[in-house]
Amino acid sequence: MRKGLQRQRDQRPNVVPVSPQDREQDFWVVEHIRRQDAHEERFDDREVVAKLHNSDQSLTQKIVARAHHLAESRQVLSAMQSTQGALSSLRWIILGLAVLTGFSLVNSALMFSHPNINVLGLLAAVLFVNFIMLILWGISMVWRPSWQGGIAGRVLALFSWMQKTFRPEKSKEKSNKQRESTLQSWLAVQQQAGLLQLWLSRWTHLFWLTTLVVAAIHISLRFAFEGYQLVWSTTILSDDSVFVFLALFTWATELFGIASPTLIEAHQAGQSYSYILSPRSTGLWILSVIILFGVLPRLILWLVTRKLYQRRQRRMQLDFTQPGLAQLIPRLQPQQSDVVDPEPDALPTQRRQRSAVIGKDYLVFTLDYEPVPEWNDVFLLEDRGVVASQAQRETLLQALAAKPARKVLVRIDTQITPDRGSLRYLAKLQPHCNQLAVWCVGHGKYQTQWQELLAEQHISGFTFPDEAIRWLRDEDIDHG
Amino acid sequence: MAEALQVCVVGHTNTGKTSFVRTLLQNTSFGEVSDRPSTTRDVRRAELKLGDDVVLEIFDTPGLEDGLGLYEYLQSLQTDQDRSRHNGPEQIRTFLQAPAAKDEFEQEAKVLRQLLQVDAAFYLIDCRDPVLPKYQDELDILRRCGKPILPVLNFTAHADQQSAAWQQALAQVNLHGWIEFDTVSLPEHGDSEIFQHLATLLPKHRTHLHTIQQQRQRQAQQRIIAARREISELLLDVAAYSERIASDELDQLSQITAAMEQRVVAREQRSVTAILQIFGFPANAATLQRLAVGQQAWQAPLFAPETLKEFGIKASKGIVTGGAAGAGFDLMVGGLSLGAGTVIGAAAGGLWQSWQQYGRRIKHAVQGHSEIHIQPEIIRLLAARQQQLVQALMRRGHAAITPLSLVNENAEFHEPARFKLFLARARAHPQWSTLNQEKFDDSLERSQCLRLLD
Repeated sequence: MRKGLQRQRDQRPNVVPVSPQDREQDFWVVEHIRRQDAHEERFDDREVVAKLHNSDQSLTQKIVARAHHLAESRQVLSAMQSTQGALSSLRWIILGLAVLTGFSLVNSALMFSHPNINVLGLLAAVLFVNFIMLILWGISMVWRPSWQGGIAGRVLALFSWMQKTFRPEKSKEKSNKQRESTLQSWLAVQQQAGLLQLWLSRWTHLFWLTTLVVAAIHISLRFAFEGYQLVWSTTILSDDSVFVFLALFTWATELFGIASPTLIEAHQAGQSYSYILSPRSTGLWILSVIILFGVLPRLILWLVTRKLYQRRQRRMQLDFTQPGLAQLIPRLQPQQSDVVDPEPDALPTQRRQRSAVIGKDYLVFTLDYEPVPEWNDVFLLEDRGVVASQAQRETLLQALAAKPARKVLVRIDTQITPDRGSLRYLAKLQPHCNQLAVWCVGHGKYQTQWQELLAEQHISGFTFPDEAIRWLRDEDIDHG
Repeated sequence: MAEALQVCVVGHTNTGKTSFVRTLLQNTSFGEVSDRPSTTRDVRRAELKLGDDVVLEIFDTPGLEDGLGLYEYLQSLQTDQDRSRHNGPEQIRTFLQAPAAKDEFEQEAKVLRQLLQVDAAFYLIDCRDPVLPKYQDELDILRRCGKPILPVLNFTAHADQQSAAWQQALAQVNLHGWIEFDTVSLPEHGDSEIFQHLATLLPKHRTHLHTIQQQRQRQAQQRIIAARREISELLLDVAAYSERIASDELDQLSQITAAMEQRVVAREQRSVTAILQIFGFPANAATLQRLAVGQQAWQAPLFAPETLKEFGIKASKGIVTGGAAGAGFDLMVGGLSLGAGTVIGAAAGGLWQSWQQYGRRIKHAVQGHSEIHIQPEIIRLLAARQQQLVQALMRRGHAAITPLSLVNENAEFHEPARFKLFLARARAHPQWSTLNQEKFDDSLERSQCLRLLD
C-alpha cells in the first residue's frame, strides 16, 4: 500500500489508476482533501486547477490529480502512510488475537475435562461461540448494519477511539491532527463505496477462520501426543438426546465418507452411549466436524467477501454530489468554447449623406410597427402610416426621390430593438430631405440604445411628443 | 456516446441567442450579453459535455439585422434561367460568393455559412415583439439553408408576450413545431422539451438526443442532491454549534450571542455560495435577508427528553458490548477469571456510554457552565431559505441578471420526528459542528446524522 502512494506521487499529475487498490488509494486522497475543502478553510488550488483546466484527462482523473497535488503540498500523504501502517498493524493484531483465542478455546475444553473428554462438550466449546457470532454477523448484515460490527469493527472502533483519546497534547496542532482525520477519511471512502461492511466481514471471517484452524491444529497436536479418553455421556442428557445432537453432525461427515460407525451401531444395538469410544476414530471424526462445520463455512464466507470486496473496489466511483466535489465540477470541467468565425475589424457603417435637395413639405411615418395606432388623433398631422415591408420602404423612397421633403419625422417603437437594417434605411432617407429626425415612441426597453445609435448617425431623436411636434412645426425647442 | 451533434443558434439581433446558449451550457460566463444590438459579432462554438463526453456542439451566431435588405438582395441574384431557383442551399452558397457577403451583409453571411454546416438550428424569437415583415423575411432566408429549424419562443414569461401571433406566423411558413422557453425563467421540466423537439426534427439522432435528455435530467437531479447535502451540512453545523458560558459571566451573554450570530451568518453565506456554484451561478447571484437572531433566540437546554431517550439505547449498547468483550476475555483465559471479565466489561461499557453522553455536560454543570445552542426556529428558518434558494435556482436561467432575493419564512420538515432526532443528536455532539472547529470531528456517526435529513 505504501508503494501505491509512492507510485501516485511519481506519476502525478497524469494519475491513471492501474489497479483497484490504486483506485482506492486515489479516492482516499480525494476524500481527505474533499473533507478539508468542505469543512475547513478551502485550499488555494488556483495553480493546479489552472493546469488541469484544459487537460485531456477525465473529470475523475482531474479531481484525483488535484487532490494529490494538494495532499503533497500539505504533507497529507505522510499522514496517510502512517495510517496505512497502523491499519496493517491492526490486521496483525486481529490475527494474533485469533491465534490466541483458538489456542485458549481448546486449552479450556481439554484442561477442565482431562482425562475424560466429553465429545459434545469439546465440539460446543470450539464451535458454539463461532456459530453464535456467525448468526449475529448475518443479522447485522441485513438489519441496521453498523460499521462497528464484528470483531474487526470493534478493533477498528477501539483503534479510532484510542487515536482520538490518547494523542499527545502536541498532536492537537493542525499538522498532526491530519493523521487522525486520515483514518476518518479512509472509513468514509470505504463506507461510501459500500466496502466497509465487506472489509469488516472479511477480517471478521478471517479472525474466526484462523481461530478454528488454530483450534483444529491444537486438538490434533494434543490428540497426537497425549492420551485422552473420549466419552459421549453427559450428566443429565439421555442417550437419545445426545444422539439427536450428534446426528446434527454425522450426516455431513458421512457425506464426505468420514466414518462414525461406532456411535450408530451402538445405538441400534440398544447399547448405552456411556460406552468409551475408540479414541483414534472418534478423534479424527471430531477434527472433521470442526473443519466441516467451522473452518469450511468461514473459509467460504471469507473468500466470498474477499471477492465481493475486490469487485466493488473495481467499481468504485466518485460521488460528485458530495459537498466539496460538486463545486469542483464547473471549475475543472469548463465548457470549451472558441471562435470559429471571427468578428470583422469593423462593421459596415452608414455613410452620412448630406441632402442636396430643397424640400417643401414635411413627412411623418412609422417604421416597422405602430404601438399607438390612434396617436395622430390629437396632432392631426399628415401621416404616411406604417412602413414595414421592403415594398413599402421602396415606395416611400421613390416618392421622396420624386418629391423631396423639408423635414422627415420617423416614429419608432422603442420596444423593438434597433438594427442595422433600420439604421440603413434611415440613412437612405437622408439624401431626400433637408432634415431627418426620429420620434422614439413608448419609453421602451431599447430607448437608450436607439438614442445612442441615432446620435452616432447625427440624427435627432425625440422622446417627448412636444419636442417632436415643435421640431416639425419649426418652433424653438427648449432642450433644457 | 455517438459523435457530437452540431446545432447553431440563429435569430434577429437582441432576441437572446447568447442567453439561450448560456442556459443550455449552464454557464453564466459564455459570450457577452447586452441590450445593445450587434453584441455578438463572431461565430463562437461551445461544447456541451455530459461526463467527459462532448455530446453537442453549439454555435452562437451574430444577430440577423437586415432581413428585408438581404431578402431583396437574394432575389436580385436570381434570374429566370437560374437552376438554383428551387434549391435554397445553392442560392445561399451563391450569395456567400457575392461581394455583398463580405460587405454590407457580412454578419448575415456568417450566420448562413454556419447554418449550412450544422445538423439543425434553433431560431430564437423575442415573443414580446410583434411579427414584423423583416422577421418573416429572415425566416424565409434561413429556411433556404435546408436545415431543420426549431423556433424557440423566448421571454414567454413576460406579460406582453405575443406567442399566439408568432405561432400563427410560424405555421404560415410551415414551421409547426416550436417550443416556449424563457431563458430567464425556466419551465418546470427544465430544458428536456428542447431535446424532445429536436429529436422529432432529427429522427436519425433520436437515440443520441434521448440519451442527452436523460443524462441532463440525471445531472439536474444530482445538482439537487448536492445542494441538499450542502443544506444538511449547514443545518448540522448550526444545530451542533454551542458555546459555553460560566454562571458568573452572564453579563457577557449578549456578546457571545452576537459572536455566534456572526458565525452562523457567515456559515449560511458559505452554503449559499456553494449552492450557487453547484448550479453554475456566480456568488453574487443571490442576496440574503439579514438573519434576525437576537438574544432571545438562543437557549441553553440541558438533559433534553430526546437526549435521555437516546441515552437509553446507547447505554444498553455499551453494556452489551462491554459484556461481550469481557466474556471473550473469560473465554480466552479458560474461565479462570470466573466471569469477572463479563461483569467488569458490562459495567465499564455502560459507564463509558454514560460518560460519552453526559460526561461533558456533567463536567460543565460542576464547573458552573451552561451551554448555549441555536434555537430550532432559526434552524428551520435557515432550512427554509436554503430550500427556497434551490427551488429558485432550479427555475433560473443562466441568462438572468437580477440577483435572487431570499426572504425569511418558516420551514416545515416532511418528517418532524426525524428533525427532532437530528436536533437531539446534533446537540449532543458539539464536535460535529465545523463552527466548533478546534474540536471538530468528521466521523461516520456524523455522516449518519446528516442522513437523517435526506
